[in-house]
Amino acid sequence: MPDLPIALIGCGAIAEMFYLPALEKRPDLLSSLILVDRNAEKAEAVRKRLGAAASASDHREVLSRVKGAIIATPHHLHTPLTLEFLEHGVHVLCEKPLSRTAAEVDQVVAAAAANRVHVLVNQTRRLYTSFQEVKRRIANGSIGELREIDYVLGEPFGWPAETNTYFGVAAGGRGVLFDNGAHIVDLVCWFLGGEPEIVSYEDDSRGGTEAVAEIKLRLGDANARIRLSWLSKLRNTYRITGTRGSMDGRVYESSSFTFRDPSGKSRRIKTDGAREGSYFAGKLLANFVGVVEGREQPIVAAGDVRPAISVIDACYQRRSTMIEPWYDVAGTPASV
Amino acid sequence: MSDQRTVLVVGAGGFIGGRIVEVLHQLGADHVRAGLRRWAGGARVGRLPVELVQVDIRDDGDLRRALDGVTHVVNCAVGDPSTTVDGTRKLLTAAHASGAQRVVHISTVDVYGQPEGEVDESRPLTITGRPYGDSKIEAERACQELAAKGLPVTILRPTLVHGPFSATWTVPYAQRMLKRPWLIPEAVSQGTCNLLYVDDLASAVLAALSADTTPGDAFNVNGPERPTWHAYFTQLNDALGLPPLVDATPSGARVRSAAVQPLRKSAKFLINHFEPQIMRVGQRSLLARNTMLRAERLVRTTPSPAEFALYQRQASFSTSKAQDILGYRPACPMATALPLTAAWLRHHGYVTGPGD
Repeated sequence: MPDLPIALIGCGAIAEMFYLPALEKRPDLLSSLILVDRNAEKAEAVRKRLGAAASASDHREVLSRVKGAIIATPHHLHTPLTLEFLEHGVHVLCEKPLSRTAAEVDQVVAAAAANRVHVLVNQTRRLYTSFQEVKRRIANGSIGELREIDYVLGEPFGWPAETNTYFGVAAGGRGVLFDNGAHIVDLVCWFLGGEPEIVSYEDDSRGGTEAVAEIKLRLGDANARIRLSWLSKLRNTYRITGTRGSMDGRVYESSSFTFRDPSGKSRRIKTDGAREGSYFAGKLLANFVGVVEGREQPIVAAGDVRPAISVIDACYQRRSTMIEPWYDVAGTPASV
Repeated sequence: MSDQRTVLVVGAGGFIGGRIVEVLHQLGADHVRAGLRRWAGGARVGRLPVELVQVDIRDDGDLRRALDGVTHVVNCAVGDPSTTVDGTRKLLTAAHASGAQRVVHISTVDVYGQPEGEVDESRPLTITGRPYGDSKIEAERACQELAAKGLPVTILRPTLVHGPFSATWTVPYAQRMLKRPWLIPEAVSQGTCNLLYVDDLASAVLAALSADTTPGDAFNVNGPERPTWHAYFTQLNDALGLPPLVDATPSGARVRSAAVQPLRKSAKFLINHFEPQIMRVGQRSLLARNTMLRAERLVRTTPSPAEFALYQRQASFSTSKAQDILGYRPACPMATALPLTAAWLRHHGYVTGPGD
């Protein structure tokens, strides 16, 4: 039974929806778990609910008391908090996106190496057995040479955010690409096998955070298109096309996809694995415990997400505005 | 001291409030504060560099913070009666206390009940037992109470507001057009469709914010034309580039409508009484989620019996008063508005297109 002092930093929406249900299933961790939130009352309420060891309102109170820290704060705090814990010799499980820039990722990687600790990043999509099988089939040539990836993800924003850190100026002008894109661009880079060049990028930001974004990427002979939206439900499917076949599926389907061979014959491929978010949180947590105990390597380490972070940052540097005729006809509202 | 107005738009996470924030921002003259009931509602207005505040208009503390420094208020908030009625009263009271120079309250022509003929503001407000219209009448009474105390509040009564982001008068019709058969025959859709493009409503709001009207005065806001429902359907269909609508027979359409009615009623009952449990089941089971989505789609795409009555009603809401006093000039007939709406529908994946 592990007696690992671990801290959960941030008791907001991602903690409630993802980490706490998984932690509740690990009584062996609860006995030494410390809940941290700037809102001391909330941290203490969660501690009581879980029967955890302690609560605190400032992460600095636990820096030297824990061996592992789970960073579940608003995005802009991910890198600075990760660095602070690493510098105190604490292993980190960080929510996505790990960082804003590739340089920040490099800092994190260097800090982890210097302090002989590890960083695990929550890239849940990489845990889907469907995507793991897709990746395997791309690598072993099941669809021939990879030529095209098309990935569309859109849902009206429904995350029960408790703070104003997702939108507008407070979010530093980084919206759906930074948030959902941290998963999807990472997945596409993983499939492509490296960091692609950006063919084009446009979004609908008008000085705030973009809610719709479209990226076109290229690596060698393979092209990729990603469309993301916070404003409407899109078709939410992906297709990966090679010279001798294709694979496609629904973006939320974590244990199956359709495989088409060169003759055009298609069949459903089923993979092992659950569909529930708590399953992935449990898997991630188990890996993190293994990492902290020195038994395992991170499933997704900081350096693994560098290509996606680099692409996302570069997209923002060259963003162009989507044309929206309903929004501005010749620069003015239609009737005003 | 700056003459710049600070305009708080309450309900900025919604269809109308979101557009008013966009228009105010584009015009550039005012400091715009977008009031969101929940942060999650900020995706659309967050695209702009406007100030975002969280404000539940039932909460005095939220209201004090949101109204700090505000000169003008647009109230687009709507919800259950605690929001529409009590929230409006609290908002207006707080706006009065903070010295707001003008409040524009978005009401609805549903306050007239289900009238026939030419309807101007002299028509009596009529309780019908329908929660939306009845609560809007109560909210207007709150406006009158505060107007009597000296708050400069203007009431706008828009008709059927359509356009981008309209989840009532735009998206469901486009979805029905995509999913044939078309179930609203021409013969039963000859009533008056009082269509108001959202930009025309925005222009009425702008006019009301600046006009020195009598506190508590109310104005109908309608579009520039009075098409039949059938004309709306066919022109939206054309704007979307879809094959011509082929009518079901009136009797066939009614049979189908009646057949779906039990499902509609059951779904409404279950959502009203067991929504959290249903959501949990949906989260746990893909099969359950897909079944619920299919049921929802069927209900949404099948006209209800009440809709058939709406499509045949002959009622036209006059905007003479708004034109005379506010200087309101609707400028978006269907020929202007629907191509813009169609472009939006394509862009957001409601209709397959380059950006699907």
